[in-house]
Amino acid sequence: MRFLSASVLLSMIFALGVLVTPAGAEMFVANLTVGSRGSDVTALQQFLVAKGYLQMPAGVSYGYFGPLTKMAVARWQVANGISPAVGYFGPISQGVMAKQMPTSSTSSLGLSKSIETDTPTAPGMRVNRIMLFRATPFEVRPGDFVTLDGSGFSKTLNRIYFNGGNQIATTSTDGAILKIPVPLDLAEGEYKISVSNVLGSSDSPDINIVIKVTNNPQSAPTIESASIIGDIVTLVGSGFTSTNRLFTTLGDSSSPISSNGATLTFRVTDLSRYDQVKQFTLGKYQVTLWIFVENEHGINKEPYKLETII
Amino acid sequence: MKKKQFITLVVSLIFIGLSLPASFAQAQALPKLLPFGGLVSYPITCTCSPGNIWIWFTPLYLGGPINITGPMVYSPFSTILYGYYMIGVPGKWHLGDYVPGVQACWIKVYKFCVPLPAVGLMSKVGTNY
Repeated sequence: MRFLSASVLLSMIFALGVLVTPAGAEMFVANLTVGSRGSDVTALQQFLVAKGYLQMPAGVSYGYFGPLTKMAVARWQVANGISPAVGYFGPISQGVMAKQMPTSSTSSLGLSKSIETDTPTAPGMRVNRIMLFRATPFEVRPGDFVTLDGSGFSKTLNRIYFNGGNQIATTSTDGAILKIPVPLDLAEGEYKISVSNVLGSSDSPDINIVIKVTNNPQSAPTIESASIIGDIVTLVGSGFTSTNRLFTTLGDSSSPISSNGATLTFRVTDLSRYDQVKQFTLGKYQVTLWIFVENEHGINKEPYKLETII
Repeated sequence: MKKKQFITLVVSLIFIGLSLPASFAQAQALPKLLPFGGLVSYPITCTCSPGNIWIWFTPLYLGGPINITGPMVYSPFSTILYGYYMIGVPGKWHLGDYVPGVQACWIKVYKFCVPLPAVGLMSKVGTNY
């Protein structure tokens, strides 16, 4: 009988252990303020970043409670009615934050599961935000189709706006791509595109995604092949103009580069971050150079990949 | 007695059998992860996908025989960060795993946003002090 009970108990524990998902809630064990360090500070910063109150500058490590974190905590406290909102992360703030941690019916950021399912997030992006990254092609006629890349698009209803008006409704199958027709009544000119759905609006003061409506649209640059001899790279393609600007994974060109329309030539040593990398590699490392060419008609949608040694 | 033990064994196996498909399904849903390590040369802020950081490593160790230099993306929304938290700090060693081919850094290039290519998206990473 003892054997029976023990066996059933063990098998149930095993089954539950496999089936139950960890809650993942983070607990803060100390009060945090300017000067605090450690994993509690990192957890707090990651929470604030995920909620949109903190943006960690590139090159600044997590784990130190500095002035930026203090301001972010203060903003979060104001938004949550915590007084005084001075950026001190004490017991009151910890209690409020604990209520915002995951439960069985909500996601880690407080969204209902139905909303989260309706608005899939692109890999590595915030789960509670609709974001618009790109509209291609740049130059279009009324009635042409434009592809929007982003994150958090709805499977059931997104509203697209052109300069805040001319609303159209559409759906996304994967949360990352929308295909929309340009309204027939749009006059020539540049239009800022925004998308809104149950998560809010893609509008951002720092990012403007625009298309140019014209009766004579030109193609954006396209790179069909590339070669490198010495430090000179030659791109062969179409859509190049007299003033092209380069952007690559080794930096950008310091000045515009002219072209005959089909070929474009530049020196890899002129790229803005070449010297920064070369000082470590000394000509002994393989590198993948991804190349964009931008001009007044747009930018190539897919970067061209060129393997070289640096 | 032996009959009871046999029944118990059968019941236990049924429990285990019922639980295994769920665990296999979870395992199959996981993306392919590969190990990486490297020394940070410099970071770039992903201006069109705020919060994410594109980090250039020299060297970048991916397990092959060739010396490589190149970028990986850190996302505070999906990368698990371990001590000592010096993510993207030049001169700091990083070790972790990544999902190959995922492009999670969008950056402003003149008037457009483009995906800034990287080897992949870090899934887990720890750094030296």
